[in-house]
Amino acid sequence: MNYMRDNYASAKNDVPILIDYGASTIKAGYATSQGPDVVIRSYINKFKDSNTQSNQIAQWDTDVFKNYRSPFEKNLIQHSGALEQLNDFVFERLQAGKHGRVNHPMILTECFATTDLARMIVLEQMFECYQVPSVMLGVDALFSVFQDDLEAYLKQTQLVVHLGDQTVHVVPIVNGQVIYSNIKRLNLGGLNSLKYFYQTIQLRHPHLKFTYPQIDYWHKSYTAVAIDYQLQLRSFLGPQQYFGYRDKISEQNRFYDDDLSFLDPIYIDIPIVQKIVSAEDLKRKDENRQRMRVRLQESIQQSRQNKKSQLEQQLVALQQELETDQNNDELKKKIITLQVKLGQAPKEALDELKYNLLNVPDDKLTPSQLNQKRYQKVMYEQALIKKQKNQEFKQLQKDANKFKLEEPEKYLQMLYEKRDRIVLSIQERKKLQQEMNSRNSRFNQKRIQTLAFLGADDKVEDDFGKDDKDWEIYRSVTKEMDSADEKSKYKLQEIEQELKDLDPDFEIKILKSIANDHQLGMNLSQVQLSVDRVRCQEIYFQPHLIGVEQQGLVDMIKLSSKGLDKLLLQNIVLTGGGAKTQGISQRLSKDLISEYDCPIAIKVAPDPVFGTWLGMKNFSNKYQSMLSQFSITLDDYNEIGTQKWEIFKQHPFSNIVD
Amino acid sequence: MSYSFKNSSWQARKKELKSRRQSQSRKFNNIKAQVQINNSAFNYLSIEAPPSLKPAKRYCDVTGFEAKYKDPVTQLYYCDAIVFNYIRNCPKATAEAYLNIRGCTQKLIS
Repeated sequence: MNYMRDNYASAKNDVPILIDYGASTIKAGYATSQGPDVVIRSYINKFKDSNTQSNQIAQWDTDVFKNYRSPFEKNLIQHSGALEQLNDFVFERLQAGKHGRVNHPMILTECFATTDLARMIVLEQMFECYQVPSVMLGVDALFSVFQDDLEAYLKQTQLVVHLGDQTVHVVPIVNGQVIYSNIKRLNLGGLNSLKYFYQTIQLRHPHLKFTYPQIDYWHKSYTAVAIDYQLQLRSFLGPQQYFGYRDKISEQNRFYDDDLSFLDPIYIDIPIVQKIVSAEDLKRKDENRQRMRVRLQESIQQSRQNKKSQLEQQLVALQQELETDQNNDELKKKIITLQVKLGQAPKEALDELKYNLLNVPDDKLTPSQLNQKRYQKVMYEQALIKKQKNQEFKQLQKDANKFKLEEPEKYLQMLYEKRDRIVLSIQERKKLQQEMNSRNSRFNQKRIQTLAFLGADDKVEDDFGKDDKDWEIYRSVTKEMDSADEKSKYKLQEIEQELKDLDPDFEIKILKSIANDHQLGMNLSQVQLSVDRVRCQEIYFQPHLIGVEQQGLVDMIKLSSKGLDKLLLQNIVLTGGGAKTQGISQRLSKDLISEYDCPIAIKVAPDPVFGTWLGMKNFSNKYQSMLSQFSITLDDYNEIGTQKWEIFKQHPFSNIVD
Repeated sequence: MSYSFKNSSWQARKKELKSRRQSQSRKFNNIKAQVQINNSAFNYLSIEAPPSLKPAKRYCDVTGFEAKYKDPVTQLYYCDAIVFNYIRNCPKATAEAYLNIRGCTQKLIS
């Protein structure tokens, strides 16, 4: 596992290179070294830089779930370009090959029942691009079971459960012969578990941003397979629920252990990252703001003066006109309004002009003037009401200060109620806005309907715009929100600031009002991992949790060992990266004991992750003479090609059935 | 980027191989077609585990506890009143995301 350059230089040409193509990591190395020399993730991220546009091995961050390329699809090699880049990286690290070829025999792995395309891609690349002398293809699950001795391997009877990154295989081996017809595959693995874990946490905490290393660390260290899933869920709910359920089960005389240990919920605090602003920056910002204010004031004053001079010019012109014909009422009106605007006459002067017909008796008026009088009456009353309201509002503001001093509790309550109302309105508006963004929402469909109606050509007469109400349609079509949203936010800030000043435990009260057991919608800077600890690993036993319509692991083992030797169940071996999860062997044995009468023994392979590579290494070191017999040579490839079946050799680790 | 261990004529050969693969037939377009070529009983699709016969247990989509109820509007399973409130008040996009995790790809209208 160490990266030692001297070791590679001494590797001779006939030392085989072993590559284990895993869906999560690729392990590669010389057969002479102790462990795999190169261990890399089998993902490629398109790395875009302004200077260089080149592909690099994936940088692991939050984007990795969206923006990565892998040669694998459901554990099958499908993309030759990505595989070539990974192979280049491996051979460069190993310093293997010169002059246009890698002159080492190869041992490669593949999954059970690979398709022709996957094999074609690998073989074409190996023989034509790297010009390798020979390639031996074997199954990873079978290599991982191989220890030292081939004879022992050919006598063993065991059930291999290979828990990979994208798939799970169950392989029965009886007397060293793989029963190919009983092999079963489940289309999920460690990656699905990690994704499920990430999605459920991220959806519950939309205000937090998680990075890939964070999630991966939690997934590795905190999650486990529940030994009894139902009991575990009850224990998360609380002691009352749990004990009631357990008593019920014991009455039915089902299997259960008193010593079962349960996982506890974990609370992880996430630090709030605050931007540190230095004093100098604050000063600079303040100065900038003041400068802007001065500039604004100057510009406003200038515009005012300009307007004033314009109005004065107009007034002079109007007065000159007035001298020529004295009896023009409209001119008088205009002059008085201008004078009011300039502050030369009091405001009441306008009122006299506006309501000039009010005090004239009805007898002296023409019918049209009577109408005008009625209109003026209404306007006059409305103006009075407005004035009253203004006065009342001013008084209220005075009273509020009194109210605040005399009855602080009632005042606080009023403020809280006000705040709740604003928060509700903001939430509703947010919902509406989100609906606008999605195409299928009712709002958008209505909008498109009205647009289609407006744009239709088959109208006989176009009388749009005759009625003022016609224009209101456009209001329902616009996507822009009015400025009310910002206003209400500003108001909310004001009220909350006031509440903070008056009430010392304002924040606690707010938190209490939205607090719940599940921590939903609380926007804490804390993550609660309770059910998530077992839920993400439960997918092996209940695949329907993530929408995979297949049997669970227990049913798969039952199906594949059907009609075979019962000895299989006493030699169940878990390999692959998934075997490292805590509690998976206990859970399997517990579930299988309730299904069978015979004894059941489950063990985890000594090195689940690197076991495949070590098995390949042991085989190639001990049986070098067999290697040439089992592998495809360059001459074979040139003669037969990948199209025909004869090219593939049959051997204890092979994938081929007659 | 050129490596010393790679065949110099590989770049031209690669395109040739790819075009040959495509021109042969459309058999490599998907896994199902790939399997149909060799008619042996042991192939990639035949070793797939069959669907389960047991009825699937329902779990709350948000919290993960056992779910007794199903919301007719969002189609989500939920376990108690708190979660129900949360589901009804959350935006449609999150409800759809919860459904997608479970494998339901239907879109919620309105």
